[in-house]
Amino acid sequence: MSIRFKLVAALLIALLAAAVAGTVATWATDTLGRLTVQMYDGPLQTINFARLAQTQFAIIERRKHELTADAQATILETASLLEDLDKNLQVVLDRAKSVEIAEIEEMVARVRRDISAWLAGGGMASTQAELGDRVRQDLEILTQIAADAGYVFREDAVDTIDATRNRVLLALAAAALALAGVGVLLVRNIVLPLDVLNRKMRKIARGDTEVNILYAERRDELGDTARAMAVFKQAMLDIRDARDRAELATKVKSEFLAMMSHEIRTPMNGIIGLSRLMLGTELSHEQRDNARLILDSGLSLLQILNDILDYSKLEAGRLEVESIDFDLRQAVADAVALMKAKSDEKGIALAGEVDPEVPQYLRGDPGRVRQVLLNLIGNAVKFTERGGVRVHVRKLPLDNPDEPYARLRVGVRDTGIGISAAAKAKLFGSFVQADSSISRRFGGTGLGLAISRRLVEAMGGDIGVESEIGKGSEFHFELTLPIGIEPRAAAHAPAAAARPLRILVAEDNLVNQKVALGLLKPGGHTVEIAENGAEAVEAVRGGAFDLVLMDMNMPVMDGIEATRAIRALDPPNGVVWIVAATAGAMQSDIENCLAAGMNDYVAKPISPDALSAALLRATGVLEAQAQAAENGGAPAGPSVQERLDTSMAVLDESVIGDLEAQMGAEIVASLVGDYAQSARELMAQLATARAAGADQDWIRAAHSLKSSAASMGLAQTFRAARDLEFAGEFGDFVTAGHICDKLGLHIEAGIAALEQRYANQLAAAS
Amino acid sequence: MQPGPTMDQLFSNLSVLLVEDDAFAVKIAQTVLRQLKIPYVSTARDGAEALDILNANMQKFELVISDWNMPEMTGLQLLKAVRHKWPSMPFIMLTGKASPEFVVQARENGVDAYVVKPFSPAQLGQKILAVLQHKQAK
Repeated sequence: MSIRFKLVAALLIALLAAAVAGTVATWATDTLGRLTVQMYDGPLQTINFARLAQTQFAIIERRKHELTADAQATILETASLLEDLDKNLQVVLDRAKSVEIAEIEEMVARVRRDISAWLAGGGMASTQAELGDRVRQDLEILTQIAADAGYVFREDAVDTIDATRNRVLLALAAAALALAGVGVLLVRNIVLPLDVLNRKMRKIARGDTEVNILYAERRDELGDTARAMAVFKQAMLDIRDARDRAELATKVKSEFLAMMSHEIRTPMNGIIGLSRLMLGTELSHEQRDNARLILDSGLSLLQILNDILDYSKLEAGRLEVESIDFDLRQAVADAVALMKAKSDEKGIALAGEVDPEVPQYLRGDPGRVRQVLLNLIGNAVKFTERGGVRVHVRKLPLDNPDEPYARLRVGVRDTGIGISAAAKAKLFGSFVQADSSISRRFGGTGLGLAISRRLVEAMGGDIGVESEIGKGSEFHFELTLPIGIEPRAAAHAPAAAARPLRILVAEDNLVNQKVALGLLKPGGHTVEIAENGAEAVEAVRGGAFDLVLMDMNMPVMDGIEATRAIRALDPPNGVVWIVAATAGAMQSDIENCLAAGMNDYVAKPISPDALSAALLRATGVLEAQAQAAENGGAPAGPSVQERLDTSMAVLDESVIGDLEAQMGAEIVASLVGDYAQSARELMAQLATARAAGADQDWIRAAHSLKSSAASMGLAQTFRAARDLEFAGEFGDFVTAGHICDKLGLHIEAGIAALEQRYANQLAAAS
Repeated sequence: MQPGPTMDQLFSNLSVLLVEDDAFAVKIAQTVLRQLKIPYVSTARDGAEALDILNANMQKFELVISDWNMPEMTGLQLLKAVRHKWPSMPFIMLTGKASPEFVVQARENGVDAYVVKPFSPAQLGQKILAVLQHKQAK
């Protein structure tokens, strides 16, 4: 049964119930009204008539001696009244069933007879008077009877009213019951199933394909819906399948790219590394030129490879854009300087200019800005034979000039061959050059502009071109960037060299071994070579190395396996610093390396800068470890902070004992007063700063308290102050409040412990 | 130990600028330096004051010992400023924690040595000695 039929039926039932209830109510109202009228009219009229008859009989009696026409009329009137009386009595008696009609009739008949006899006159005066008395008596009795009958009738009417009211209530209750029943049926049949379907639908939409669809067997709209849901569920499954297939395809593509990049990078490692090494040796002029050409070719091949990898990352939406402070003028100058060699080679001019209104520092991704600029300048130089290329940055007005942003337009104008209108439209797509013959003339992957467009879009900007065939082109992009501050000076200052390290190079490829040796030897490092992963593990097991430079793809045992095997060794050999040398430059490769327990990575072909940065990082860690060991005394001993971290005492014996051993108890005692004064002052400053909401100030005070408590071996004060500083830096002001309440107590307990320990020295001093 | 002047000889006439914002830490460092028998110790409460003092009395100081974590101008900023103007001034950094980031940053900016707090007179003395011997060797 369809829902719309059910709804119509419910509507009809409701109408019917209303109609019945209405009819009953109407009938009841009518009945009650009629009864009311009758209740008053019938008995009252009867009584009135009876009284009237009495009165008129009295009048007739008094005027009997002067029988005039008037009297005659009165007599006639009296007779008619008697008839009316008779009728009314009849009505009353019909209703008042307790009265004997025959008796009344008889009495009425006697009254009539007596009145007739009395009217006829004659006979004795005494008889006349008797007749009159009897008539009066009978009428009196009749009046009484009428009154009784009226009373009975009234009782009867009241009963009827009650019965009627009950009937009305019953009808209304039945109607209400019927409507409630209809409502319950509607809810159970329609609303609840809708709820169920709704929940199931949500589950399906969330991807839960195990959902069992109910109601599909129903022959109504809900059944239709359920069947539609089954169709939807199937569609979801299909879509998921399609998605899984697409993801698999993407994964396969990524793997292919990674493999390709590895296959290309491995020989390039040799080309670039060896030509670099070669350039560092004695060469004839011609040999030097050739070696430089080899290096340049290798580097441009690497650039192409990076373009492809970049593009695949863009395709996968995995490109991350940085937001750091940088100097745009510097970025433009760098890009121009890098391309200067090429433009000089072609004998064309190349200049960069940034308008003075452009802010010095902006916040964005300088690497990506430089990449786009290099691409646009590179294209411009490539396609320009005469004239030159000019980079021009100017500031555009903002929609809201009060905002701390700068809207910039970067233009790269050339006097090259120009681009046709038809080519322009396709220019920013993938693998497209304005004219396919051009790629044969000029080379290039055709990815540069597609990458540039996506990079600019990723930075929230637009890129475009204006061009005229034969006259030149201008590529330009617009960026709106926040105005920045001066970035932290880069580490240009005295170039730090890593200290000489004992390095194990795990590498199977002879060329790459040579490159690694060539790069590492000049740094004074001691280098050993392992031919594969298994050899590397053995070498690490047997010897003390500071660092392992681990190739990923090796025979016998690859880098990942070797790293796991090394990490399974006992310390200190098992915790040796491992740097992956990976040809796969994809993020997933790096993640695999780190997941296997490597500490760092460098991309192949290994550039001297990247390698020395990795060595410097390793040096930093090794020194930090050595420093921690030195501070803790024994090589594996815990540091002061670690000791304080676990100490249960107010004053940690091992720390204060060391301090005494190093400085003498007298000197340490002389510091107690200073500590007490400093700690109390800091606590007061901390409280004031917290009350004033000066967060930086109280966090600093906590930091100082932590530091001085550590010096004196006050474990509990140290921990409370450290936790407070930590809470402050994380903005957890609730925790900070709790700790702060206790910190003052810890400080006082600590001072008391110190004063107790040095009571003798303090007494002697004062 | 490399051949060269002994600790006593090197320290007997040494003039040190100590940069530290926390009064008690100053006290500790002064005590340690006194134990090392270093005669001349001046203190600055922050990087800016240290630069003022250095600018006024350049010839007098042969070593700067600075805390890393200070308000306004950090030890790193002071180190950069000092390296900019006096590239060969020996500079020792005090730090609460020798994290790899700290070590790399400090080394990249040309710190001569660093000492992790709390430190003993022997530890600081060894570092000062190594720095001064290294400078003399140059």
